Amino acid sequence: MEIMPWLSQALEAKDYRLVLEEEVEEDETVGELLARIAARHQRFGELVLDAETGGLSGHVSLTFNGRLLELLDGLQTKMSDGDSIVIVPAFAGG
Amino acid sequence: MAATKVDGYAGKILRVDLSNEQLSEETLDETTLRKYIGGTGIGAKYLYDEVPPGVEWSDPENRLMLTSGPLGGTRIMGSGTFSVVTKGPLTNGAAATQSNGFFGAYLKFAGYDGIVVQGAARRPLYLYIHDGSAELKDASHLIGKDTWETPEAICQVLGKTERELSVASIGPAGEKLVKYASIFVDKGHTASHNGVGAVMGSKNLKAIAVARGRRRPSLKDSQRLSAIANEFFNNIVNDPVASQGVYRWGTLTGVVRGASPGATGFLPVKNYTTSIFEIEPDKLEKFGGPYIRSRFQPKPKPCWACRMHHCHIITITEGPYTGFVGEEPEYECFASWGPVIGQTDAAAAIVISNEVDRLGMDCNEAGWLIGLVMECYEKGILTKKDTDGLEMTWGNVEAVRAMLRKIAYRQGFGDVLAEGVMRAAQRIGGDAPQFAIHTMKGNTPRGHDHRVNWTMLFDTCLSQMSSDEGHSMLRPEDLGLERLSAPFSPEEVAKSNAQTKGAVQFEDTLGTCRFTTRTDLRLLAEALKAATGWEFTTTETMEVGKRIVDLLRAFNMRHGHTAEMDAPSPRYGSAPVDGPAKGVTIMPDWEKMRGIYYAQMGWDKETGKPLPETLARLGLEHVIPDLWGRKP
Repeated sequence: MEIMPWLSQALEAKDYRLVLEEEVEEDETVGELLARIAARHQRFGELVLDAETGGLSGHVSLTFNGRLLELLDGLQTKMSDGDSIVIVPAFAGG
Repeated sequence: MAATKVDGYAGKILRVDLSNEQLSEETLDETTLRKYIGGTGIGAKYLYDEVPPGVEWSDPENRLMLTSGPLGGTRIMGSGTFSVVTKGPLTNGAAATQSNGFFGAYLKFAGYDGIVVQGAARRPLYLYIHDGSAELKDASHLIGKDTWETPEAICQVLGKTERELSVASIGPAGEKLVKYASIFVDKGHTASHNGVGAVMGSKNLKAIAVARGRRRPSLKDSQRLSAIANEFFNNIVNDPVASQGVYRWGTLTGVVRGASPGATGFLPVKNYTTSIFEIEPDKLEKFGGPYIRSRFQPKPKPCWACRMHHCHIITITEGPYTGFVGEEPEYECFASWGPVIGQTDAAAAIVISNEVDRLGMDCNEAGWLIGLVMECYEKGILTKKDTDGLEMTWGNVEAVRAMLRKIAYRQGFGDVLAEGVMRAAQRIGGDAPQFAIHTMKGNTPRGHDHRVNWTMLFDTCLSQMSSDEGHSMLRPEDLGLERLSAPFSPEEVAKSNAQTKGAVQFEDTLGTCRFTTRTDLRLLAEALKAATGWEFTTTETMEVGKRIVDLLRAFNMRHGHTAEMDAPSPRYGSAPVDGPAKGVTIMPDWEKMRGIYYAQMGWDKETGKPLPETLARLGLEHVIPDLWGRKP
C-alpha cells in the first residue's frame, strides 16, 4: 500500500511517500484491511475512515491495482497477494 | 434612497456611469441586504434588475459589479475577497467570479460595499477611490501595460506604496477584448472566469484603485467575530489534512498528487488524450511545495488578515529562467502549463503562469486552448502555416509563450484563439470541435480531468456562474445529508449536487475566502450574526444561496440559455482512454441526471426554467412574469 503526499507526512513519515506492505488473508476485503491497519494506527484510521459510518473519509481517494476503488466493489473489493492500493488526499482547492 | 445603517456594512454602493463620467452613491435597505447579503448576491440582484434581454456583454448597458460583503475587511482570514458579477462573453450569460487579495477590505475601509459600473468611456479611464469618495482619472498612460505594471504605475502617480493601494486592473488581453480576459488584483489574484476583464475593457476602464482608508464598518459584536476568526484558523491547523496541505503549501501539492503512479486520474493531461502524465520523478518533484519553497527564495505575500502559508513571491534560482521573479503559481496554473500541454519543466510552467497573469487572461481557458491547438497540430488539422509559423508540438514552451502573446494582442492566429475554446474549435473546423473541452454554454472547466469526478463534471455543466458553482469543502452532514457514497452513481450525484447547491453562493455573499472559511455554514452564520446581528439557520443560509442560483438561472434563460446547453462537449463528456477510470463515461445517464437535478431544484422538467412555486418560495416573485409570462 502506498500513501502519497502529504498524507504520509500527516502519518509522521519522513518521506513524501509511505509504503506499507501487508499480508492479506484469502478473500479479505479492502475495507477489512483498512480497518485492521486503523486498529493499530489511530492516525491512519482518523484520516482514511469515517468514524461514524465505517466508510471512506472525505479526506482521501483510493486506487486499487490502478483502478478507482469506487468503480470496483468499493470497500467490499476482495484482495489477494500482490494487489496494490494507493491512497492520495482528496482534492481540496484549486 | 435613505436607509438605516446596518452593522457590518459600509452603507453605500458606488455607481459609476462611464458614458457621462458621473459618479453617484446609493444605499440598500436592510430587507434587500438580508435577502442577498452582499458579494455575489448583491451582484446578481443588480445584474438581473438592470441588464435586460437584448443587452450583450460588450454593450455599454451591461453592468459590472465588484462587491464585498458584511464580513469583508474583518479579522477573518482572507476577507479582502470580493465578487465580480456581469454578463460575460464566453457564455453570453452570467459571470460570477471571485478574487482574493486586499481589494474587498480596502473598499469597505473607503466607505463602500460595492461598485456598479455602467456605460462605456470615450477615453481610457481608471477609477480612484479614497477616503469615502471617488474620482475618474485619465488612463491613457496605462494603456498597453500589463497587470503588474498597471498597479505599479498607479502607485507611482498617486504616491502610494502597494500596501496602501489595492488595484484591480486589466492587461492587454482585456483591452483587446479577448473573451477570457480576467481582472487581476494585487499582483497575483484574479477574478478569472467568463471574460470579466473583456467586459471591463469594453467599458474602456483600465483599473480601479482603492486607497486603504481608516473607516471601519461597525460590527454588532466585534469580540465574538474575533473569536470566530480564530475558530476558522484553528479548524484548519487542527485538520489532519488541511494542516499538512493547503495551510502549509497552498495548492502546490496538486500536480505531484495527481501525477503519482496509481493516482486517481484527476490530473488533466494533454487535452484529455491520456490520463497519464509521463514525467521523470526528479522533474515531478520540482512541481511540489518542498522543492519550490526550499529553492526559490519564497517571500510570503498573504492576503488580507491571512495566516496561511499560501501565497508567495518566488525567484527562480536555476536553469534558463534563473532570476525570474513572479508569483508562486496556484495548482490550476501549473496544471494548464504542465500536464494539459504535455510540458514537464516546472520552472517553465512558473514563467508561463506569470506571463498569462500579466497579459491578463484566465489560465484555465488559455490552457485548454493551447492543449486543443497542440492536439490539432499533432493530428494534422493545424499546420505551421495555420499557426503563424509556430511549431505547436506538445510541451513546446517557446511556441506557447509566443502564441499567448499573439492571443493577448489578437495578432494572426491568436485572434482566432482569443475567442475561447468553443468558438476557436468551430473556426478551426474539421474534428477540432470533437477535441474541444468545454460546456455547451461556452465556458471551460477548471484545471482537472472531471471525467473521474462526476460531481464536478455535472456541476460545471449545470452551473449558472460560468465555472463550477457547487464544489466546496462543505460537510454534507451539516445539512443533515449523508456523504456521497457512490460517486459514479448517476442518481446519487445528481441528487447530491442539487441538495448541496447554494452553500457556496451563500459563502460568496460574505466577502471571505473559500480556502479559509471552507464553506462551514454553521460558523459562517455565526460570523454573519456577529457582524450584523442577523440570525440565520443553516437552512436559511442555503435559501440565500439557492435564491442566487435561481436568479442567475432566470437571467441566463432570459438571455438565451436552454436546457440543451446544460451538457458537456463531446470530449469533456468522453471516457478516459487509459488510467484508473478507463472506459467509464457519464453520458449514457446524462438525460436522467439532468431530470433528477431539475426536479430536485424545482425547475421545469422540459425547459429547465425555475417553476413559479420555486421562485415564490425563494422570494423571487418578481421573476415569475419574466419567465412565465403571467403575474404570480
